[in-house]
Amino acid sequence: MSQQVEEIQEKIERVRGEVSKKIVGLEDVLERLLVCMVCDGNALLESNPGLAKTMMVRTVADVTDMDFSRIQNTPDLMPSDVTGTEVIRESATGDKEFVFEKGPVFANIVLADEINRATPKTQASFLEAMEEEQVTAGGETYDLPRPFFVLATQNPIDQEGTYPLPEAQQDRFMLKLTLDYPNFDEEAEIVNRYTRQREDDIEVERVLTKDELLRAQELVRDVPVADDIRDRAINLVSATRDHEDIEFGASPRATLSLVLGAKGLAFLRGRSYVSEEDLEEMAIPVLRHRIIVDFRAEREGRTEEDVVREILK
Amino acid sequence: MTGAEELLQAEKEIRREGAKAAFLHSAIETTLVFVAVFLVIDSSSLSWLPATVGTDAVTVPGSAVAAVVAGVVFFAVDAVLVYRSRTVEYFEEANPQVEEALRTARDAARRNEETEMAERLYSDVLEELRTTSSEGFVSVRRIVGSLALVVGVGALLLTASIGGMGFGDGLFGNNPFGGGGDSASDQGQGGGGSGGERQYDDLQDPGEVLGETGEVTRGENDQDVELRRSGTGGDGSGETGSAGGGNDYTGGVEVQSQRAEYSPEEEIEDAELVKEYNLKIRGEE
Repeated sequence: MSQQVEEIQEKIERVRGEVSKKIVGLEDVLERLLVCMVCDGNALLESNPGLAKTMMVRTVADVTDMDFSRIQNTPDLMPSDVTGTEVIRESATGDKEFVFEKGPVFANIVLADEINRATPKTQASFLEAMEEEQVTAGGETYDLPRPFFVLATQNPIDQEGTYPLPEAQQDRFMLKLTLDYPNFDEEAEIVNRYTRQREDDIEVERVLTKDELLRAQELVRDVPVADDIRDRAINLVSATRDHEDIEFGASPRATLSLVLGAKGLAFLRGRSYVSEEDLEEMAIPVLRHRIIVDFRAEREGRTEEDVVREILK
Repeated sequence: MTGAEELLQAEKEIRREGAKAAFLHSAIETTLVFVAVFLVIDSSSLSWLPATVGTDAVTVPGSAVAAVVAGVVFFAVDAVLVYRSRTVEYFEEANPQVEEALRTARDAARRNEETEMAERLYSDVLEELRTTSSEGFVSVRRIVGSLALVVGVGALLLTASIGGMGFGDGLFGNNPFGGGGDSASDQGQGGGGSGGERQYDDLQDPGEVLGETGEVTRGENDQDVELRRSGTGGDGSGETGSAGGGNDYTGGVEVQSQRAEYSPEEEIEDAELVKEYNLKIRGEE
């Protein structure tokens, strides 16, 4: 029994190794992305263009034996373009019938690129899929494949013509991950690696099956948490509601994500219990998109991350 | 036995180790308190404290009884306080390698979690506890400090008693080295005090002065005496040696035998009598 746990943990570790064959640096981001996956959550990735967000997500799909689809969001993208639509199809006998044509959301990993460029209506269609793991079309409900992840990206610059995600919708994302530029050595490695060969030339091995990932999700929920660590998570989230620099604090959903994320991180690191460090490491990615600093703090240059760090002290 | 039950059992073991450590600490510290209290009380000559406590058959110095009482009270209080501080949380802090895991496992066991991950945690923690020492419960610095103080105070007590600082009413009341003090209680314990006239109040047992009675060998001291006669008369033939000769005996050493003993019938039982003899002898001198 315990051997199976170790086997899955080892395989997830191998996933990291395989992904790093293609992705240089970004170890922390990859780790949190995997946390999100083993916690059955969805992630919002924010970075400037050209930082390998899409490549990372696609590589993760490649090494985990999961269906992958990518949706490039634009203002004219319709919800049915995401979820699918009913089309009239003629059968062999000549009868015509409505058949539901599944959209790109019917995949295990859905990369919603630049989600803030889609209209609110289309964004909402993603949200139903994320929250309910099902799609309703033509009065019928269709279950999405399991495991199911939406990894949405958004660009912090070039905001013209975008529809920023409302707070309620951002709250549905378990984590918000930000990608920084690589350092000199990492960039040199990127240049060396990708000017001598193409991305497709680098082969990655498929090391984790869907069933193993689903099993990992069950195990993560079973990771025990000490009462004091659970209480600290509650206090952390509660503190965002009373902090003088915060206009809107985080919801209990944030507390759930914080504890679950800490469990996922502990599991990835081969532990059977959640430590304080797990909680602290997950606090910023869990909370930063769920709180809004007020005007005064914003004018003083304080960000959501600054406030969370202050609460953590 | 499930993993949760095993873990709760291990928690009890940890608490037992804490109790042992508390006992060790308290025992050493109680020894220190006993010696210190004894030293203080014995040197203070507290008027309200009886010199001895007990029956005619068995008497114990009052200062020792007070020290024992203080020690017992201290032990009871200290043991409870130390035991309460030696909690499982204390053990966790002293063993950081198991701290969070043990804390989580305890909480999970109380919630009776029996999931796969919980069982794995119990197993890991129990395995870790097998190689974890409970010496974290024992504060080595505190024990060494207490022992050093015990030795120090004990040495002080011993030195004081040997040097005659006047712990005579206590356990060392009959020590033959007493003296040097100038308090009333010191008088009669030896010379050197400034208490004025020498008193003989403590000279109660003549046996101690005279020792056991017994036969004394007869004294004897023989000396040769030479008599020499001088003068002009006679026939010139020299003759020496006959006693009882002429008139010019020059004298010799007076020889007198003495006998020193006393008979059991004359046994002195009264200190006053000894004193009288003493004064009488001095007067004759």
